[in-house]
Amino acid sequence: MVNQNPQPELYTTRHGFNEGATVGTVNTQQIYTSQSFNEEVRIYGMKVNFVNRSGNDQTYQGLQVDGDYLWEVSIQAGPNRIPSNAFSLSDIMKTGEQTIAFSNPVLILHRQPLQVSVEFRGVGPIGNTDEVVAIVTLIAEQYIRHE
Amino acid sequence: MVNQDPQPEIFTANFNNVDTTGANTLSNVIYTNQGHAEQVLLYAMKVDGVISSSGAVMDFQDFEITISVGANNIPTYAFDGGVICTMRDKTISFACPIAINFKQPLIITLTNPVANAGINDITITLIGETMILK
Repeated sequence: MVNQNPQPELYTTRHGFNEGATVGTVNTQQIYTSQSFNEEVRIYGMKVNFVNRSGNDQTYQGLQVDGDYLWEVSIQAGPNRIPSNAFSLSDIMKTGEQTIAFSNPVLILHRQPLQVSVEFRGVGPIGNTDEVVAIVTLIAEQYIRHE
Repeated sequence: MVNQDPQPEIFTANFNNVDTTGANTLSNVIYTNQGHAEQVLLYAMKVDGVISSSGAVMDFQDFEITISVGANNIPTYAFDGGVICTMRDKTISFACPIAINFKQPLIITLTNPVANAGINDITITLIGETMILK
């Protein structure tokens, strides 16, 4: 339920990966949008940050040491993936803004579950220096739908 | 009370000497000084952090921010502040502005969910405007 119309939203999910996690390990987190039957959520962009278990910045160069630099992300809106395929999280991380803007917004309707999945796509198990928490933030707004 | 309509506003919340050796929940109230016929719109937020003792760039990047407007949180949930801090321009633009009406308290809350050895200064800046309601 919005308190203003439209209402900006930032949804953050944390995806933890332990040392030894193998290629293909997926961590999925649910986002509760708390929207009413006549409200919709639009997601315009995504930010990503990598930290270690102590909360210190985990750089791309640091992840390269053990070959742990390949990551993918996907968004499930209702029963479908939107965008249709998983896309690279590493590429977003490498940009100065650590942000990707979608060419048009991802639409979340009432009762549609929203999930973010992060998949490790490295070249071997996660190394002993790279316990990783991927923090994904969706940039969105929620509004009352006008028929 | 505005001196021009609209009037640009920069609101800053300073969290100094945040001891991240333990989990914290720290709040800072921002006074908008708006009249009864005025509204504040917040368009964006900047986040910066330095190590208190040296002023060097803060390595700690795992903290969350909550914006409370009146009785509610807008955005609804706490969100990651570390990513804003590590970005080149250290700024996030909201998808649409946060509206603050007369008598609504504006509170910024900083939480760090994990413990980390370090004492840091974290500055949160809100970029907005105050305008007279027509």
